[in-house]
Amino acid sequence: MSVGLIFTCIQIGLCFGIMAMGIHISFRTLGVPDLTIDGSFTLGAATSAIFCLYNLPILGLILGMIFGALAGIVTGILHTKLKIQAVLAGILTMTGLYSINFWITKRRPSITLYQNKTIFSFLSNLKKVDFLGSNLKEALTLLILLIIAIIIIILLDRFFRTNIGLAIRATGDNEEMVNASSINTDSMKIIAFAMSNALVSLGGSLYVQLQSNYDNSYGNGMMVIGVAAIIIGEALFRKRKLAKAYIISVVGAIIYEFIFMLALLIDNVNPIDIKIITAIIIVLSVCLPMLYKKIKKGSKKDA
Amino acid sequence: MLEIKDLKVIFEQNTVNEKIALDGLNLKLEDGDFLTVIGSNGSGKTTLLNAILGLVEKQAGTIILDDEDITKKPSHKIAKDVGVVFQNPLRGTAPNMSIEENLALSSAKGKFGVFSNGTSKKNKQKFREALSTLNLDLENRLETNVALLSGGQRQALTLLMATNEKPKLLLLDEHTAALDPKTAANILSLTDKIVKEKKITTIMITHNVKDAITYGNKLVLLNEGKIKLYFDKEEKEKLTVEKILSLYNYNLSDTQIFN
Ligand SMILES: Nc1ncnc2c1ncn2[C@@H]1O[C@H](COP(=O)(O)OP(=O)(O)O)[C@@H](O)[C@H]1O
Ligand SMILES: [Mg+2]
Repeated sequence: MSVGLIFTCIQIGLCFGIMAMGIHISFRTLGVPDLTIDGSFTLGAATSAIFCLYNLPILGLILGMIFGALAGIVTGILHTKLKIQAVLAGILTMTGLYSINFWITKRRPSITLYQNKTIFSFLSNLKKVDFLGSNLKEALTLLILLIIAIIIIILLDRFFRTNIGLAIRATGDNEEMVNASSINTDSMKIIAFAMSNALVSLGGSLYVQLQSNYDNSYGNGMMVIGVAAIIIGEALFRKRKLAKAYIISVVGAIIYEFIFMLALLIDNVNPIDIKIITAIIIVLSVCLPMLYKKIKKGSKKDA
Repeated sequence: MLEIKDLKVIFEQNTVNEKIALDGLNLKLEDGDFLTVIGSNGSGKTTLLNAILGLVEKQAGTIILDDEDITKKPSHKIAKDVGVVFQNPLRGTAPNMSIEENLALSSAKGKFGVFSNGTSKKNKQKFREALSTLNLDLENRLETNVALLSGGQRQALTLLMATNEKPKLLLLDEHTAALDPKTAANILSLTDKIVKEKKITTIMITHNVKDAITYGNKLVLLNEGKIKLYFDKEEKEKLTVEKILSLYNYNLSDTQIFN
């Protein structure tokens, strides 16, 4: 694996990591699987792509996030006010987003952005400057994504210590108790869905600008990747404090991307088989630490 | 002041399973009253509390708390004025959050500084002081997850959360029944201390007739969704367990109530 490829893995892993932090909010904090994800990732990607066409990449990121939040609010309202099961509510929003994403891209299934401005394009002159066997552009691109991820980790850590953050966490932990604290749990869930999908959308927005390319299938399977990232992270590291849960999600996403890339590198691998190979590797990476703990416990018992 | 008039709660109305849980119940409590409630299983005690809390649908009647009609108020809004501790110690606290985070949530009640830090230095100091009144050494474990506490400790914490900001009404539903006898006695005397110090209007359900006589200044016996026996302060002071049992048997000829 070349340094260039390692950089690429980390860059993509960071985009997925930002998304995984969003998924963490619904999947872990609230404890509800939200299937809006595949749609809202593409939503962010589509918004970002369109604004890059007009050379407004930063506006693309911001609006991508806002649209993502709105998608989350829709799912949240379907779930809490109309009492539709969370899984179905997410699927409904995701299904609707399939059309909406086409409206945003003016019916184009894909868009290339090589000629357009992205938040990374100011670095393109640095392509010729060598850096650790890759080039400075790739290294700085990685750094920008890393800084964005770190800022989000800090903001999330802060937010979930405020009164409203505590209320959202408690809603996932003991809803009845939150109600007894005179807090409307429906509102807390809607806010959580909005934040979650805003981050997922941001992940998609950044991914498009990283790839200088948009495709309406980008969101496919993102829920699985995000959940895999969280579970891989949790299997390999013990989580204690809040911030750590987010760091773990990002690291998990980067590890996922490495696994995926390694699967791609297998000689003569058929692209069709990659999905099942990655699935198996994820299962192994989750099971091995568990097996290891069991074996350790077992040997203690024997002794 | 709490005033309940003609309260009727019917579960699964117009089905074969129809159950009249509260059958036109009337009750009036003055400020600072501490009412104990006894009655056999299924007599409607819990339903009474759930009705006050807005957790069950009422078919008729009104509930007035401090001049406000709360009969149709949503439960989370009623919770602003009414503290509650249930039998199950798992119900009142968020297990995967720390003691201080749980306290922050309960003290945010009503005046919700949305983006303010719930566990700021100032709040921590406040929580430490409040916890020290429990004499459980919890004031030095602010950052411990509640899941690691014993049932008694959790129940004491829930009680503190329910009363820290003085509620207009405190509801206790057999809140010591799941604890071992010694812990139960501790929590009960702690309850009495808090209620008396803060002069909180309180309704305490208990299955223990002796406790019902020992604590509080009024006592009612519920049967089939109605108040069957009522004792005010003077009458209650003269009560004994034997007397209640004999009255009860005489009135209802149902002997398996208090076993
Ligand atoms: N949610 C409910 N649905 C149907 N019946 C209920 C429900 N809650 C309570 N009941 C019935 O109402 C009656 C009173 O119950 P409850 O108030 O819990 O009694 P207690 O607390 O005095 O033991 C019982 O017959 C019980 O089975
Ligand atoms: Mg009961």
